[in-house]
Amino acid sequence: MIADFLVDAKRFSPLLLDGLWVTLVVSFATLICSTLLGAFWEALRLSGSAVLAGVSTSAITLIRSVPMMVQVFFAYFALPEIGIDMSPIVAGTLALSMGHSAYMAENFRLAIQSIDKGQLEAAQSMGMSRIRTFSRVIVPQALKSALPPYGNSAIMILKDSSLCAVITVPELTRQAQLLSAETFKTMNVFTLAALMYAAICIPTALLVRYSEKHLAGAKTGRAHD
Amino acid sequence: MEVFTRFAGDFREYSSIFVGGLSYTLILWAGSLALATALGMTWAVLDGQRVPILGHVARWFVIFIRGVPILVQLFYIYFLLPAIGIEMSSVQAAMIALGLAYSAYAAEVFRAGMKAIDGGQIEAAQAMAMSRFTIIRRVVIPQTFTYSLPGYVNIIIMVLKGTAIASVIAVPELTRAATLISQSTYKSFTIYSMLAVYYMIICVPMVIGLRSIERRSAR
Repeated sequence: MIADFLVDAKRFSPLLLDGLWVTLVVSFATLICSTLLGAFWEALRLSGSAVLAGVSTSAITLIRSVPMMVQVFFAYFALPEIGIDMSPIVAGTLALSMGHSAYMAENFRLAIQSIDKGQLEAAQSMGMSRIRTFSRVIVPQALKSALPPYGNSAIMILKDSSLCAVITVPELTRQAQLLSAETFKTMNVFTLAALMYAAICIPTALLVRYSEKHLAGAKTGRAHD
Repeated sequence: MEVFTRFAGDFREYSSIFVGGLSYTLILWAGSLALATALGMTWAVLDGQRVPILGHVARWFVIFIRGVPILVQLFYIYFLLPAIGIEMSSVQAAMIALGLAYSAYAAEVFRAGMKAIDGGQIEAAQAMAMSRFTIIRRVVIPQTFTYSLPGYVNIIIMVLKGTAIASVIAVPELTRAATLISQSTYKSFTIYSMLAVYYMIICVPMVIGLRSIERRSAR
């Protein structure tokens, strides 16, 4: 059985690795876009305007309420109807970025809120401007405590990129599906795919756990929904 | 304005199919959540209470499950179980796959909650000659639930949204129902918007509730 698996592993690896490459590209693009969009939501919240903060909170709440899968379907099947036609890979990346921007915003919010209020008051009393306080006091500390949850989000994004398989993006899960339909070696193919995901996610997760323990003041990363 | 009237008309027209899908979503949600809670608590107790051997197995099981996409796990279980002679419906397969997958996330939440329990309580229970099993059942588990409430509400929402993944193995839940209607009517935009609204109706109150629980426990 193990010999059989190894033979199959050698045979299937090139195709699956092609898929893994697409998975990494989609994940990386999603990581960047969702970080920017998440920072945008957080900037709205901190803007000082109640309206903008309300917009940010509602957007985050609505995004968090819809399954990632549905967002992927929406981007690929529904948007073309109103004239926004995208290739599967772009639609998938866009949907994942949108979905994960809400969690990114929450990561940033928790990191910023974890900073002691007294420090802001101290900065103010020293006559520092708002922007200066933000860039010199808040951001350096928030970055530190946002790091572990950010790592968790990165892992989550990598795993959620598998959802793009349903809109025919040729990433790892899709390649595994095609291979198993072709060869009927379902078990070997999916075991191999699972191992590839695990080979990336598990070391990252252990790194996140390590950094949680060793970054002083870092809060435990929250589980995603 | 006309757009809204049309949307409302479609909403009424297709609502019976959506409600049919909703019932499967709810069943899947309840079943997977029950399984995920029971298994998650089991992994957390085994790992958190340092049960020999089984504790390590539970820990690595959680780490591994969290390292693999749920979609892959679902395919794995759906195609694998029949191959080894276990026949089951797609609903059952989805329930098991989602239950197993989310048990790992629940275990993480419970493990963190378990750490918040005051060690003195365990010592007090030991001093009262309670057996280890009784301590776990009477002291550890009830308080773990209390301390991990925000995380657990998050898991409840996660599982509900996770049920959408079951649509790929043809479980006739909400997302699957929407896909089928949109394929036959070509009104993708309306149908998928409706679908999002259905999920929002259930999830938005929970997300808002979660936020207020978080605020309260942060204090």
